[in-house]
Amino acid sequence: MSTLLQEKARELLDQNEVSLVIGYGEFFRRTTDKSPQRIISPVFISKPDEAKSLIWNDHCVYNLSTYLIRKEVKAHRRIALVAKGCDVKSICVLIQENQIKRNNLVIIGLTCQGVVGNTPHGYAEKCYSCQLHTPNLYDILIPAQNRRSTGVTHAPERGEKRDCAGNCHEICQGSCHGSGQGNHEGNCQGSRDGSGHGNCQGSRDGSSHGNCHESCQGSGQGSNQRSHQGDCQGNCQGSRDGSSHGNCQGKIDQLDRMDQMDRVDMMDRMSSIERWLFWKAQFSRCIRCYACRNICPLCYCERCIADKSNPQWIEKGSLSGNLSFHIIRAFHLAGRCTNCGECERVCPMGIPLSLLTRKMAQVVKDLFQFEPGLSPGIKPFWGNLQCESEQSVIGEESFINGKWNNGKWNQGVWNNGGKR
Amino acid sequence: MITRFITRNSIRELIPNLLTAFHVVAPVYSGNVTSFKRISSYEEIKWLDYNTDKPPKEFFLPPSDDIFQFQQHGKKIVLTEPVNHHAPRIILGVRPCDAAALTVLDRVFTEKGIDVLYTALRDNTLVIGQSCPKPGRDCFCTSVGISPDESRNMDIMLTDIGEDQFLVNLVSSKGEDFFSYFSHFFQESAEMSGSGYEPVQTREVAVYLKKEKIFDVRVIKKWLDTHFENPFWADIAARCIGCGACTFLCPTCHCFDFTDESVVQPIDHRNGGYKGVRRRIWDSCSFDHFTQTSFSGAASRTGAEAEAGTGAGVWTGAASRTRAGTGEGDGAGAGTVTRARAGAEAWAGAQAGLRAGTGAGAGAGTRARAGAEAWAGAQAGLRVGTGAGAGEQAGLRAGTGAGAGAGTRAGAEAGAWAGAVSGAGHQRRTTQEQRFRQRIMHKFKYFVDLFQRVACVGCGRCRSLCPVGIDLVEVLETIHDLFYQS
Repeated sequence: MSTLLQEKARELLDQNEVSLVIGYGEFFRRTTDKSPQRIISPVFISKPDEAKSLIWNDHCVYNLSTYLIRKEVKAHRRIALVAKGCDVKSICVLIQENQIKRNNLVIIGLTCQGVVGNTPHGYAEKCYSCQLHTPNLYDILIPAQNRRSTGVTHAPERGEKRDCAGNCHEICQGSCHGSGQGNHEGNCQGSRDGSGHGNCQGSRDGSSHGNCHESCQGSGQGSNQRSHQGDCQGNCQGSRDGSSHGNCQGKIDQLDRMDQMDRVDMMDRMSSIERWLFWKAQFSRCIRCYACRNICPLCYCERCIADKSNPQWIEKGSLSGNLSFHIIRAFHLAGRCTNCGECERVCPMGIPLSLLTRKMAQVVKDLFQFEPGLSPGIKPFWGNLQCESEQSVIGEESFINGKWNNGKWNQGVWNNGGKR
Repeated sequence: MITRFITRNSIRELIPNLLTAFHVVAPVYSGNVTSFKRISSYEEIKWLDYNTDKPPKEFFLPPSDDIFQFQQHGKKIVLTEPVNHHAPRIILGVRPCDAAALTVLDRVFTEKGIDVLYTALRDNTLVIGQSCPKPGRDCFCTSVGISPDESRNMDIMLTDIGEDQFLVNLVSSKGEDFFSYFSHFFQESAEMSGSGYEPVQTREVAVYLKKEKIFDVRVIKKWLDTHFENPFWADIAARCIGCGACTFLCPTCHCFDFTDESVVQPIDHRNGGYKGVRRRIWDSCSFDHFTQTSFSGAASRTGAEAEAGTGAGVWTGAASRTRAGTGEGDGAGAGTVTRARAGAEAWAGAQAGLRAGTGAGAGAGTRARAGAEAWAGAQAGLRVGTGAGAGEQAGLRAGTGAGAGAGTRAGAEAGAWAGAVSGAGHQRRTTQEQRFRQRIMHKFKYFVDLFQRVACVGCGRCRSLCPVGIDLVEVLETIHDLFYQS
């Protein structure tokens, strides 16, 4: 399928329809292992000949739409972007919010059957609830490599295990590295060199992170170098959880083995004290590198409130500042975040940020029956709250015990048709 | 020759003894990443084969360090310096790369002025390092002149020789003192010399060591010397998202910013009662607001006046004083916000002159390009030539209320630099390309110009942790190739 992608990209550049194609490319990284590691990383292509470096496989985890809001990219007249269904959701929101012009963008949509991630089953968490394995908006569509013999294209089913043995060893040498958690990396570092070992190499210390267990079980039961040394106990099952290394907090460990919505449920079941302690522990690790914000396609404020120092809204050198930053960011994304999961993937400290955004998405969906990113044509969520009409999206029951519709709020703060 | 050992069990017994007198810091799991943390029992220690996800840098240059507190009393502002509460510390399990990184920090924070905060932390710390049994996947320390069994900056080095035993190497007199005090936890053997023992996994390390260097830092430097402008920078930086992951997790990156943060809301509005703290926090050249926040930090220090101009004036005055210090002063100074900008340009010019004077920096071509380019050259020039100027800058800061401590602190190279840029008060590097270039230039050129070594220890963290897979080794390899192509 990469070939088709390359052809299309070449055509676009050849015919001068676009001046830049942003897609996924394959890189070879030198490591201290025998063979170089093949990784997937974003590529910017402006010459037709370079189109051959484009690639599409299930290690293309990045949400490239984040580059659309960069001024270097905006300077181009028209560009093409390679995007999976989940990435197109972000594009929809950007169009809704008038950040990019649809006409200046050629979307090369990818039919996707799930990308690798850090769940125990090997897919990214978002994949299990994905409804857009074929993007809802595209100009060119590239089909996926068929995962199943039936040839049916669909997202992985809940709990479905990613089949590593098949082609992982070819492509996945850590291609999804990039997150400090290393969990992506761990995935299927299969036996590319044929030796049958070296699975789980991905994580920086192998022992702790992510889904070594998945890869080990999937492909190489053999001598798992790192896991031996990092006392990762056999096939890394213990990864990240308290069982093999002592003192991790139980909650976090359980979370790691859950699918996304289960994790949100679990957060809900925590008492408020538990939740507070949980987040305090998480955010005390934050180093304020802002990788979460900078990778986010929807964090496009030219000057982030976290960067302002006169007046300074958010402390820069304290836990309370970390808390403020993440909570404010989550609120800014309510009704907008499409849960592409990039913030969590890139966090070098392994903070489970998508728990926040997921929860916000759940609330927005429950209260307002709104899911962001499904259509570029409708008004954005925050621009569409109506307080006057009987059929207000803010139902009496659903918002602050029905008190919302009383009093002055109603009379013209939101969507008042010009009256004040 | 006496060979000394310690067993894991002895360490287990030793730790409680240490805990009574020291803060003991060791590699632990923190969430799902490995980092250095203060421990309260032996069981917390995570014995790793290679370096942690997060370096121990935070124990020498904390992500947030209180410099002083200020409180408003009527019309007066009272400053309180924090009591030096740093207990003596032992950091256990530091890797050769992370220990070597202390050399970089030492140069910056102690060579051209003594940074009191840094030296306080550095001096009361005993580093018990551990040689690497095997190289980590992303390691490239040998390419930057460090080896997995190097003991530089350690006080004691442990080498795993299997069967839960470590060879003990006393590196410094501090280490010897420690040993003599706790010698009953160690075993000694007079017969065998240390070389008779085979460190665990030495084979892998040997293979790693034998490997050709991936690149030659001298070649990198040569190319960087003459290629400030090159299409390569735009190519490589295109996918950079401008976060601080690489710099914050780098054991040698040391840029910082100052920020005033209120800790207590005013109780009595008329008489103030504002209370706050000035902190030194990590900053990153990758951030698009890198130098800008420094400036606003300065502005917030002097309050609303800065907006009107006086505050900025004072601050820019600092810049001109710096210039005067170098004999380049044109006294242009400043007084208003607009002048701050003008001052910035004058400053660039002055720098260019300075650069010419010291003979450092890039050619006239780059200098001619206004703004950021001229400035980057200027940075090198400034660093070469204006140690005294930096002091001046710091002095001024002390004058506005930082206290003597701040004065000395800012004498350091980075402080001088941050200060100078703050004086100018706007972002000089407007594109990610420029910011990315700055990171590479700083590590492999400017730092070499100044301190005759690269500011990289090959720990590999920036490679592993970059959100979009930018690989420093790939960058340097490409530069290496470019040099031979040109």
